[in-house]
Amino acid sequence: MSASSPNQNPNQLEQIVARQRQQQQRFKTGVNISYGVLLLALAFLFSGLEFNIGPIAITTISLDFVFIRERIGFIFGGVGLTIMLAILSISLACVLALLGALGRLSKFPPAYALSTFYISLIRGTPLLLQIIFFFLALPQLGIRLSGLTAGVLALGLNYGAYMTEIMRAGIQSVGIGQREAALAIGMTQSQIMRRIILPQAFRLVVPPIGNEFIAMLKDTSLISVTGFVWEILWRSQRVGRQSFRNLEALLMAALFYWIITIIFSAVQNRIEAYLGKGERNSGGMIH
Amino acid sequence: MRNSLKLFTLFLLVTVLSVACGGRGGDDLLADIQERGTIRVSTDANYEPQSFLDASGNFVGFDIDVAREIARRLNVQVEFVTPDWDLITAGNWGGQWDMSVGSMTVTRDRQQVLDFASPAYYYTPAQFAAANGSGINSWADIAGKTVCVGSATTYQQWLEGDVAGLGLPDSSFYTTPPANVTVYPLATDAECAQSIAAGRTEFSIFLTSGTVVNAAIAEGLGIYKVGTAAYSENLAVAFDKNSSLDNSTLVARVSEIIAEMHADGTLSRLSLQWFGEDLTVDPTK
Amino acid sequence: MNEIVQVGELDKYFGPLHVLKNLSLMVQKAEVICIIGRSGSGKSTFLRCINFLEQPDYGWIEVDGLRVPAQGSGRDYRTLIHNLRLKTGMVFQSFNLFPHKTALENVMEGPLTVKQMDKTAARQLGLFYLDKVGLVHKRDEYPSRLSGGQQQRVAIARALAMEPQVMLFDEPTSALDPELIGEVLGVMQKLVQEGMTMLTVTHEMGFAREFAHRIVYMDEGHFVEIGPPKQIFDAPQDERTQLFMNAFSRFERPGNGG
Repeated sequence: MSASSPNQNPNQLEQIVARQRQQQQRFKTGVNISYGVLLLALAFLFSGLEFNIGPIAITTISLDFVFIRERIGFIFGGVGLTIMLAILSISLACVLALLGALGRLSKFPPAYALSTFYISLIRGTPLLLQIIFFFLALPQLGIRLSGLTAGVLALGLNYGAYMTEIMRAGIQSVGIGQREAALAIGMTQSQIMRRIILPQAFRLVVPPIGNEFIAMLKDTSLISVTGFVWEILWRSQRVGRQSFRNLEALLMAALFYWIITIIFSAVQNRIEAYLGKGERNSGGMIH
Repeated sequence: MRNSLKLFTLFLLVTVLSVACGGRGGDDLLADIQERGTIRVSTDANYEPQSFLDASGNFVGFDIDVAREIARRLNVQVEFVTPDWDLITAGNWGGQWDMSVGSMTVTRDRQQVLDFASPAYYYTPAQFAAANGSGINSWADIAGKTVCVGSATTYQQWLEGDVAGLGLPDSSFYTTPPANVTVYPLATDAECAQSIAAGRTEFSIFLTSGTVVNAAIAEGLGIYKVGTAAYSENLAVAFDKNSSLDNSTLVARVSEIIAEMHADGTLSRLSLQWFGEDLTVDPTK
Repeated sequence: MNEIVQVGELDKYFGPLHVLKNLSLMVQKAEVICIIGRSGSGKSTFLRCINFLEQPDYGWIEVDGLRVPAQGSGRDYRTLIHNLRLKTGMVFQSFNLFPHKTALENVMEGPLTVKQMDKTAARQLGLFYLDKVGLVHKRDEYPSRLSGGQQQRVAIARALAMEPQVMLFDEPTSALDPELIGEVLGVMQKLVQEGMTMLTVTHEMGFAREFAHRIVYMDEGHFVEIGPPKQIFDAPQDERTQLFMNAFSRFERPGNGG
């Protein structure tokens, strides 16, 4: 029996495949049931129920559901703005990160200096501080930016500095051989960057940029401190404070952030799966 | 790489240019407002019934109605902006809004950076409140305790002993700050009330406007008033002292309008509508 | 004379390391030169200096009448190097195909971007050279779907598509599995027969013996011995060449790649 290998016996092979599939299925079901239990536990935590099990008194958090029903629409109104802020900021960040990476790799001293100075300054200070600074400092220079523009600028600059490393790693991951091959057929530096290096780097930087975007979705809430941008957190704080229902208001905001994140994470997984497929078709080289 | 170099130079250039081209001056703010047909009013929409958002997100409240009436009498539209309270009281608005109608107490410190319309448009009592069951029954019980206030409010200033800094006439004060209190500033006064309601124990007393205390009690938070009003505040419309446009005609015109609104009963009517009492009479007179 | 490539008094340092020592070489049109030697002898560096992938420190390179001094600066000098590269084609040990482009796109890339040919013409040219290396049927495949031998043939087509005056081969078969070497050597043989001028760094002694007009034996940055295959293989003049040839024949049969 031990002598017969599975691929010599089709019946046995089928059995093994079926068993493996069954195991996977069982795991999936287990995970889904556990999710259900966790969600129920979370719901219970906020159910407002109070009771005794023997000597132990169980207390849960009680919420004002009338308030939630009344205000959820208003807070939901910030979802679009939050997503827009994140998209605008990540776009700016991508451009800055690319410039930052090129500067970082540049042999032209001012470009290198500007890039490293930018990265150091931004990474050395808190994002919240930067947002407030942009909002307060620029008007003194006569630059009157709307809260939205100031926020996007601050978020974009901040994330751009962090993403410079991603871009740089992406660019550097493209082997020196690619550059040499392109030079040998007479391509110029900018042609090489545009047509050979960046397209290959792109594939590599998309997944980490996706992660940054997911983080960005929640960091847009920091813009609420300026008070000028009515995104999710601003809306929830306003209605929470005026009615002394901060907890309910923040929970609604948390729920929306969570749902947005789940949706965009799913989108990100799709994109990564798609790029991963492309990788197999056109990716690495055989040496 | 050479292209990236050009991009960098461009980036630098844009940065430098945008820094260089700032500042205009010499013009009149009121004329500017009338030209654009809109006055931008900052409001801190954290306070019911002064300034808050209704269920559909519209600004409502006493401050809002006063601002609308001022705009109406200036023959311009009103647009509300919502910067944080600290930003409003800090001055240097950078032309992002023209006027604050935000129940702001006129204090000596604020007068360094802001201009106030005179007279005040209403007066509120500063009121101590305590958590149910805290055992605080009088001003005397407050000494040595921790008291919560909204950050950068006059309540913080007064509790910290800077009575003169408020710049109020002596007749406005009904008591002296309690001794040896620890001041616990939170982002807004509303957080003080909510922290107590949520069962936090860092403090069980807070000091804020009587109108906020009334609202919190009306919302069913477990608090009660301690003593009567501690002092009375003059709440006035404020303007940026460092505005790049000259604000003197605007301040004068708005002051006139407020005086008219006192005289013709508009302010009393709005106060009764929103507070259920007339807070527009100067209690020191 | 009919010298298409000239190298004059070439010196190259890597930091303090003197890797090329006063090298001069004249190559006739349609001549095939094979450069052999131990690893580290400087043979690849020498080849890479000819199209300035490595910048020499002293001397000059001339290809098809265009002379480029080892050192220089400024836009004119960069243009000079660029023009020199247009006259040379290079094939690398590790192929270096562009992985995000199909076989045909790889071959078209130079004509399209460097020569700014229109797409139809570039495509025709690309197909022509893919056909020359026998891979027209693989035109739409990405490099990762090609065998090493096929990738190297596409790389040769990519270099040929720029219609260079001289082809530089830098150990073109060293990265290949033994059974794939033949197809690449086959393509190179075809180029020899078509009269292409070629400089080849190689360990393929069989190829060198059969097709090279002259063989250059390099050691420690020197051209130790230059001569026809018969001389280098059967009657080397220099002691060092003899030692190398002895070692080679003892441990590796000719034609069995290094």
